[in-house]
Amino acid sequence: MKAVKRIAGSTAAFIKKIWMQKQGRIGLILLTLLALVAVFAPLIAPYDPYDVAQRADKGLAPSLEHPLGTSITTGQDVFSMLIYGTRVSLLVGLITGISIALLGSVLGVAAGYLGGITDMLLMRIVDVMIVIPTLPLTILITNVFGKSYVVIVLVFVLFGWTGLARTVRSLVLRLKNADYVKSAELAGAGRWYIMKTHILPSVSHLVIMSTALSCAGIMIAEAGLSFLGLGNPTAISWGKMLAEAQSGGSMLFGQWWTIIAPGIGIFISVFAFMRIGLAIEGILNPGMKGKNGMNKLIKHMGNRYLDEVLSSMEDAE
Amino acid sequence: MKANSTSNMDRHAPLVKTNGLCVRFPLKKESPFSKRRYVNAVSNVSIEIFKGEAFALVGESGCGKTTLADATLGFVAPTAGEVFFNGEKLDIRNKKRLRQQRRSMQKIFQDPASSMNPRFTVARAVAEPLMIRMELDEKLILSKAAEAVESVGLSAGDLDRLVSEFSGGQQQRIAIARALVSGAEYIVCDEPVSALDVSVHAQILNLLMDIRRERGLTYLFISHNLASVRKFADRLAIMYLGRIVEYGDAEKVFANPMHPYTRMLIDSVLSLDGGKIASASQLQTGAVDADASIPDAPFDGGCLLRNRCPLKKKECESIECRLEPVDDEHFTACPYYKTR
Repeated sequence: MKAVKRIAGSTAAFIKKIWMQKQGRIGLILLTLLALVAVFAPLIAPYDPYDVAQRADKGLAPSLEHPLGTSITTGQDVFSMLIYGTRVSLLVGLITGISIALLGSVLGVAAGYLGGITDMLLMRIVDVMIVIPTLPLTILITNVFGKSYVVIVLVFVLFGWTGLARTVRSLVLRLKNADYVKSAELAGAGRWYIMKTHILPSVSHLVIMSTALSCAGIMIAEAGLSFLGLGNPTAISWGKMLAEAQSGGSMLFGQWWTIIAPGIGIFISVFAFMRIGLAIEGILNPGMKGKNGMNKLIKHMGNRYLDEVLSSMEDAE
Repeated sequence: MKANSTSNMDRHAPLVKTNGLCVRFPLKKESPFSKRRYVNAVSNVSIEIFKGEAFALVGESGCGKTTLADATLGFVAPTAGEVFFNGEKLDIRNKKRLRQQRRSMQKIFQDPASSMNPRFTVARAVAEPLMIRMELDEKLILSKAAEAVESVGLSAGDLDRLVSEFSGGQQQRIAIARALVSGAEYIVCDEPVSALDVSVHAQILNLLMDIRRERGLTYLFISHNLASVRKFADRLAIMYLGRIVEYGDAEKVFANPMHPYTRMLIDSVLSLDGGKIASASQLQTGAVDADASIPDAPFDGGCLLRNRCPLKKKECESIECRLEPVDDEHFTACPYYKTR
């Protein structure tokens, strides 16, 4: 319990650090707003897009009654769909991102610290996972196990933890030879104590940053899957809004708002997570903060980015 | 007079004893078919460290000082030979017993900035050995930590500050407090001042000496700084490429160095008045080629120093160098000491 309290305490302190930065503050405010919208969607949205009885004529232009018009295929209120879509996108992004963080960091620490057979097995699994093309396999899996968000989240987590695990492992390999780990071992500390007290807290910042970035990536991936028609057909998500607009020929009829609306939703949420990721980067590596920070962030998203941060952390030490 | 003349050393009870200790590390094979080669970090070392003494281990970098010290802590498994602590053999495989034995041991690392978790507060860093044991309640542990911190010249008010906020010298004080808090009697000081500013060397060394006198501790002091060893050590061992080349009472060794390597070390110290290296014995410099110089098996003939030795003779290619007594408190591995 004490460990939980300590981790909670350091997380709170870390969020405060993010808040102290302009980038992070923008991200946190946007994310809070999105979360509020998701939670209170039924109160904000003028219609219930899941209610068939509340459908209007198809393809209506924006008006006072329907601020963003109605969808071209079903006649649902686009503004309400946008509000309700926040739930799916945010939930899928957060649940997947956090699961990846947990799985990736635990397996990475285990591989790095325990070494030997554990390390070898885990890293061979990672090697195999990395070369598997994800999209075709995702299509296959959703066709076999059904198009539900549970399946999609599981697939994302299954293929998402490998990069983080690798990065965490390389950091742990360096940490475990630190004198303070030796010193604790000399004082009689066991493996569990050292992983819990010395290793995990030292990789936590890296994990939080990768979570912020992977949440953004997952939200885009979810939209992509829904757009391809692989999402849950009964749920309303931004990706599915795009897919419907496309299949209904919104562009053909000049109804750009049905495409812009979910686009803006996706943009804002990804933007929020990226800003938070950028703020964490500023905390981890003050040297890289600057005008081109955002460009670097985009350029180095994913593993390459993490590797660079890792090596610059090494330099800083 | 030497400052440690008041030391409470007991010649009859070795606290730490190694008996023909060898430690070797495998090198990476060049090809799957080639014979595995080893680095003999420590070869056939037998030393005794008595209760209450400061024993110094001197030698250039890479000669196996730290490996030898780690072996006495049960941190490195010996390839051959054995280590005794308080008369009892250290058995690396018996983790439970080793853990109990290690309660009387501590190590002070070279760089205090990396030997304590920078995220820790002073209280946590100092109290960690006690926390790991989980025997005392938190209040008692904290009061013990406060006591230890005060005994190294810091105030109890510093307990809540982060370790990383302190200067190098202060961090080393904290590291010393950490070593003291658990009540260890044997402390390995692995070059405790070489990472610090020259201006705090004397402070830390004096602190270590005072603490030893007060608590009757035993130190294994690793150093390549002969000046501090001279001031600090009761007895010493000079190490070269994993072997002890000279061993015995510190005063006697410094007054009358018998092994050419010891002479080289002493002569290579810059003297303040002369301002230049006294070159009586002409140290043949050159990197220590550990791979080439250390044979695969111990004692396959020849003196290891022969390529650098100014007093080299033809016989040095084939002799067996064993420690031989000069007198009963001074041993040397060079068989030609008498002829010089």
